[in-house]
Amino acid sequence: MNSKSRVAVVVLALAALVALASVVGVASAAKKPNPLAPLIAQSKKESGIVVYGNPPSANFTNLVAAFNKQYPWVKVTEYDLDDNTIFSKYASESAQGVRTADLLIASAPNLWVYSSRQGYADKSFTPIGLDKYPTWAKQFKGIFVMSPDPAIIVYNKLLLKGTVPTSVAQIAANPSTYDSVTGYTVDNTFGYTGLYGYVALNGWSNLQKIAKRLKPQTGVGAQLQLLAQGGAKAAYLTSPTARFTISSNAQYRQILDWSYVKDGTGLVPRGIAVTKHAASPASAKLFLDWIYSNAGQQAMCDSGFTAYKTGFKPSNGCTNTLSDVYAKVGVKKVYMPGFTQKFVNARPKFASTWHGIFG
Amino acid sequence: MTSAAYEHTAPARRSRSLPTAGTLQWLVWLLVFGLVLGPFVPLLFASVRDRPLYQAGGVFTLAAYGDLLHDPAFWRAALHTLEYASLTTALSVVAGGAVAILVARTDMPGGQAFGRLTLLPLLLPSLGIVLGWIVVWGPGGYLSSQIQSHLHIGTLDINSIPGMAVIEATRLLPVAYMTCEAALARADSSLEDAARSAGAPPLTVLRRITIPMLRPALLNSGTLIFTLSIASLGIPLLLGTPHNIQFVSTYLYLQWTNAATPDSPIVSAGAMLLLLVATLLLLLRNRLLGAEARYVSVAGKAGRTAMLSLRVWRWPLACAIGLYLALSTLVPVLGLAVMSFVAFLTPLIAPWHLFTWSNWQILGTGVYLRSIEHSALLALVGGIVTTAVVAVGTLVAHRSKLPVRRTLPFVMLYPRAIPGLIIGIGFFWAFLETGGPGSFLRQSIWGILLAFCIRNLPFAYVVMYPTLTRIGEELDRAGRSVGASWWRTCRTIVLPLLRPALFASFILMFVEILNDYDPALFLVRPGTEVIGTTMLDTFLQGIVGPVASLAMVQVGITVIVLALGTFVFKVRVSGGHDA
Repeated sequence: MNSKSRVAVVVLALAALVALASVVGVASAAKKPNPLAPLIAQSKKESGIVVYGNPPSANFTNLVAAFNKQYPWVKVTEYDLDDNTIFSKYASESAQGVRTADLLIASAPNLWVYSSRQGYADKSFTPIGLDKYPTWAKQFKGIFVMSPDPAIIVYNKLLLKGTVPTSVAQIAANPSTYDSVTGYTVDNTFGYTGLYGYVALNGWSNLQKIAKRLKPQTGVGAQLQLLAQGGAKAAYLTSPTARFTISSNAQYRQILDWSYVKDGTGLVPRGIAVTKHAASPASAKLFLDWIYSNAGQQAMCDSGFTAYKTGFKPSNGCTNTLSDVYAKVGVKKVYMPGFTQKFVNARPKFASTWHGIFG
Repeated sequence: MTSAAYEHTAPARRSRSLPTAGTLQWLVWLLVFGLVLGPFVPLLFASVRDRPLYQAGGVFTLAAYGDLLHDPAFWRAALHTLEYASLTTALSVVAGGAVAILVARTDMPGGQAFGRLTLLPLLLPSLGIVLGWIVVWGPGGYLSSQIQSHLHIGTLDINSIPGMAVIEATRLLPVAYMTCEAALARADSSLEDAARSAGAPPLTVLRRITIPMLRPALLNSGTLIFTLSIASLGIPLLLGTPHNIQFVSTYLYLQWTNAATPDSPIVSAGAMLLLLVATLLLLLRNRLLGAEARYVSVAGKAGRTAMLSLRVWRWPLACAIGLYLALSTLVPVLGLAVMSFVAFLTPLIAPWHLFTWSNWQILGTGVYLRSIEHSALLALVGGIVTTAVVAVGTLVAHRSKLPVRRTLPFVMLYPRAIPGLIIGIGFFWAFLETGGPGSFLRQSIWGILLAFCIRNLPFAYVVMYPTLTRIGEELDRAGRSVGASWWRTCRTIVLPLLRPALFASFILMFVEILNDYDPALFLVRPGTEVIGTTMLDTFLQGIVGPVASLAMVQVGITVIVLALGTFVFKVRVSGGHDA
């Protein structure tokens, strides 16, 4: 190698080094800014999110109000639907190629298993802070647990006059006090999941004792109405979104209160996914990501869902957290079903046993 | 009836004007025929494919029919439907006939007023009234729990099949009442007078003469009520589903919306079977009555009717009817009104402690506001368009020489016998199969409007036809003899004379479209909601307050429009409603 070529090699090597350094520099500079920046930019060009979900509108509206503090330009429209309808409506509309949901939210492990097989979820995005959550927070690619909701007891405190029901066993053993009870039918997937957890821990005997005293309902709204009207004294294994209904409404507070089910709390994982055919995917991903942020967890707690980020403490004393459930009920009395085939397969037999008892 | 008359009218002029008149007539015929019967073609097609029409591939198969007929849940639903429809028919025909006799043939005080009020449930929003029933008489309802706690007696369980049948019967009783009342008004009372003068006691006259005379009307209304109740969706969905009581309508609806594989061919197959049953019932009804007697003519009475004296029973019977009207209509509407101003309705706390504006404030937001705007717009546009199309359609059917004109009355009455859910599913597939225009209709509120218009078109026809028969054809002939074309004759002579019926038709169509919901359940999508679909969806989520205020909006608009119709346009809803 002559001197000229030696100089050329050195120059080239230097140039390569400089080029490499500048690439690395760019890369490290790119990591520092908000990794959501491309999503934010794209979301501003989108027309808002359509959500097909099962949370009651009041709870969800409260959640969206907090989300809009951070992302005011993302308009969120929620359709409060039955779990089955959420997936069926999405499947139909996406196959027809018309505007459909960008986000699905449902308390239906069995339907999530089905939808993961059908490829309903957008698998390209995982919320940034998810490593701070239990491993089950991510059930499938693109399908996450938004809120592990404990099935709770809501009761009419005017009718019960100081008695506080804290277990299904207590309701089962006192037919004179609890002559009329409400709760989910097994046909509702939230209902099925809550009942499944309870039965897994305690068997059917207490439910058999309640039998004909039950006025089953398909939704939590109808159960709260019935309780407030005095048509039932307690609702067992019902949705904890009622916590928000009671805390945010002075009129309901006059008459209703709630408690954990101390003899066995089934957790009902409320799943969430951005859809594959979302018209506003970036906005939907921002919403999904926000749920798992500290601000999102605070808003989840405030809206009657269940915050469950490891080590997260709500700033305002809100107690709607998974750690509160574990503290008050005891880890051994809490059952968390996964989005598994076993759970799906168990449903027909479970439902027929339930219908055998309750009609 | 009309054709022979035209054979002798000015042939020279007509030959020049016929091509345009003929084209217009053919166009109207095609429009009505195509829109009413057209959607059933894709429905049939969807029922013999192995997958929803929007999915690629697929083969012809009858598997959907096989699956449906082998599903025990379908047969259970069919049995429930039969029990429900039979009970509803029996209750409403007996009660409707009795009220008609009391109003038309006896000296019961307030007869005329009772007659008018009995019609109310037919015009008030049916979904809203059902919600009123639930609020007041449901499990834990305001009055049912009061009665239970104070009097220690149970009330009718409205979640059972007999309970649902009672609610449906109160809604459909006016159909029986109107048919019977019109039949009694037409019938000469001299037979009854003769029997009375021969010494027959009133009950014998009733049993031997009045009721046998009413038989055709009872059969007619009974068949229609039976058809309408097998198609009923709102009551079974709201009251039966939570208690695991499925009807054919709810079975199909839930298969459509809740099944893992949506829009299954099974639903289309079920809709085809239901269509077949409804069509057979309609043909049976026509056969029972004779083709032309199936709607009520507004002919003059044969003579003055002598009233049967009820003596001591006058006031007790009037009170009984008053009580029935109060409990079945007034109390549910009042319940809704109170419900719309409270957080929840409970006997445990006085309503004024639970007062809230929130149920009304929420109507100014989001989906609620959108639904109200859509429904009002659809009612207005639908009322005008349907009235116009049906007016021309009626003229073609009864005042033209179009060779196929005789098919029009049947086609214009057909949708009344077809369950709303079939019309909804039919249009769903029709829009999907018709490319660009279908896609536009599918994604906008105008597709829902089309389904609503077709569903309610018979109302416009039954209002217009009797009026048209009273306009002498010699007027048309006079116009034609001086050289006016068919259309000009219609436009300048017949239509102006038809004006009261046009107003009545508009009012009725407005009210019916405003309050309709079941065809829309299959067509609605985010952004195209109407009041009825929002009410149903919201109620199914257990939220009652805003549903009550939405129902009150419907009731309010309905009452105002009907009052305007009655006082400003002198519209009287009577007769003919029984088509």
